[in-house]
Amino acid sequence: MSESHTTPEVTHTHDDDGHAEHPHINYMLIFYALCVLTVLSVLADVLGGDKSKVMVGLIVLTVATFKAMFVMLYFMHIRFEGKWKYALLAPTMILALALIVALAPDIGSEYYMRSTPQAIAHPRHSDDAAIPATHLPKHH
Amino acid sequence: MSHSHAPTAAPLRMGVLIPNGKLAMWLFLGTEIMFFTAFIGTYIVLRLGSPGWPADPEITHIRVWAGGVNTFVLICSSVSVVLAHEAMNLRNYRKATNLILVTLVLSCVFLGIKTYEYSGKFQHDILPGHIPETDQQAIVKLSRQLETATNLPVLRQRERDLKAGTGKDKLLGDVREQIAKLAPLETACRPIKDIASGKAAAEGHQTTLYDIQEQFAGVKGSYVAAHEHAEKTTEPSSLDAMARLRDVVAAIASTKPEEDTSTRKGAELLKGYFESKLPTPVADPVTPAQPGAPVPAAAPASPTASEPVSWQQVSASEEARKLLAASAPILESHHQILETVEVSHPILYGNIFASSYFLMTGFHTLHVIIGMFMFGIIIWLGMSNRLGDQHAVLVENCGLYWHFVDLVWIFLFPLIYIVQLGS
Repeated sequence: MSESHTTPEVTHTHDDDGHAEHPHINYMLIFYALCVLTVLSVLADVLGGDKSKVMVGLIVLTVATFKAMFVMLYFMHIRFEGKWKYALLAPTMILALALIVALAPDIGSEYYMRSTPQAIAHPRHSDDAAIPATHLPKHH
Repeated sequence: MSHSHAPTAAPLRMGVLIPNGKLAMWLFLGTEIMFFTAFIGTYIVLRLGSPGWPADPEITHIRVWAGGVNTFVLICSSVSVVLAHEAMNLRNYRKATNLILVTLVLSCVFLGIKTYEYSGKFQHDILPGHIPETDQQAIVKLSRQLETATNLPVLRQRERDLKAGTGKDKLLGDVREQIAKLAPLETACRPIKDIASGKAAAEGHQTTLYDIQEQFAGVKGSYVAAHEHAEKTTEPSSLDAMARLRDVVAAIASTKPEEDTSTRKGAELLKGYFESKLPTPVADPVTPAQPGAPVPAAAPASPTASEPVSWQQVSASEEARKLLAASAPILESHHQILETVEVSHPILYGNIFASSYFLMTGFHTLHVIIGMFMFGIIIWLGMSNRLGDQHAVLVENCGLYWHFVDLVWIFLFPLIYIVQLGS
């Protein structure tokens, strides 16, 4: 996605080997984009409510990814850096992703035995309802 | 020889064509990406593996608006730091210093809001290892909080230590008096302690958290009632005081024991004070004094042990009136102790939530604080007119670091504050 979305007013082309001399960037445009995206996150939270948890989750995480992209590409000037960025950031990205891949089999798997107080208080599956459940905690 | 005439080749250049400092910063940021990915990854696993994860802001005291404002503050600071970098490239050092100053102020605002959020967590005891997850744990916590609030375990330890030593009789006396003053409170809270320790269950009483809440409210209420009784006896008129005492007696007598109202409990609490202060235990059943009846004149203040007196007689004595008046501040202090304790509601997975929350936001905040020191150095250089071209990389590196801090927050904000998945 880094190359596909529109570039905010880049006046010079970039030089793959050069450093420091990046083109002029309209930082305020990036700032407005980040603000709009933040408002979007909060709106998704307010309007989403309890009904569409998955949808809200997907929206806010996508928005966060876009914000991160803007910050990295323009504020950190990644877009205008030399090819060294690939050599430098690839290993760390691979290792970071490897952690997620390594954890993936555990994502969403339960950690508590059915007999623990937590599992009894909040049965995950409908057949668990057979377990005599203590009443759920009341909050106000 | 021919070599010297060869066309001059471009000199060989080793390494990456960026300043060493910048390369080092990027390498460091590479490790930082892995550092935070590990936390965020484990958080997601833990969260999705714990159905019923607390996501309700009312329970976790997460303030979405505070997180949102902090996101905005960090975005603003990212802009100001990148503009400072630009100003450095244009050799406008004064502007660069000012922009870094703006960034520092914004980071202070971020820390301020963070402090507000953290103080809310501490106030409601949303801390790792402090949160009851079941009703029974909530009951045990209340009992322990009551014990800690009275300070009795500490006083008892002091008493033991002093007893072992010599020549500290006065101190020992003070400690014993403090313990004696707290005794009625301890008695009032004993039922809660019995339930928490399982003693009540062993005797066949089934207690829920709801019962405990009622019980605790009852103890508080009885203190209010007792204080009300006691305070009125400080009125100068002795006759009024006596009338008041009769009311206390009447309150105990007129309510049936099974009713257990807070007035009755409060009156009994007061009676307890007399029993602990007067030489002879007074255990007689009580008959309410007739309203308007003459106050018995000069009831024996210190009856002999062989001749137990009625509560009515004692309460009518002048000494008792003084004791009653003196008990008002003690009752008040007990009530204040009770007011510091609250029944906590169990939060399922509250502890692991608190651990994740403080780990992630805590490390992020630590990064913010380190960034503030970096800005401080640049501002110091700028203020002393020493900021120059040689610092361009320094400012750029600080900017890169700060953008990374912003980047982490960009992910923490939705993950901690907004996403309700798995809850």
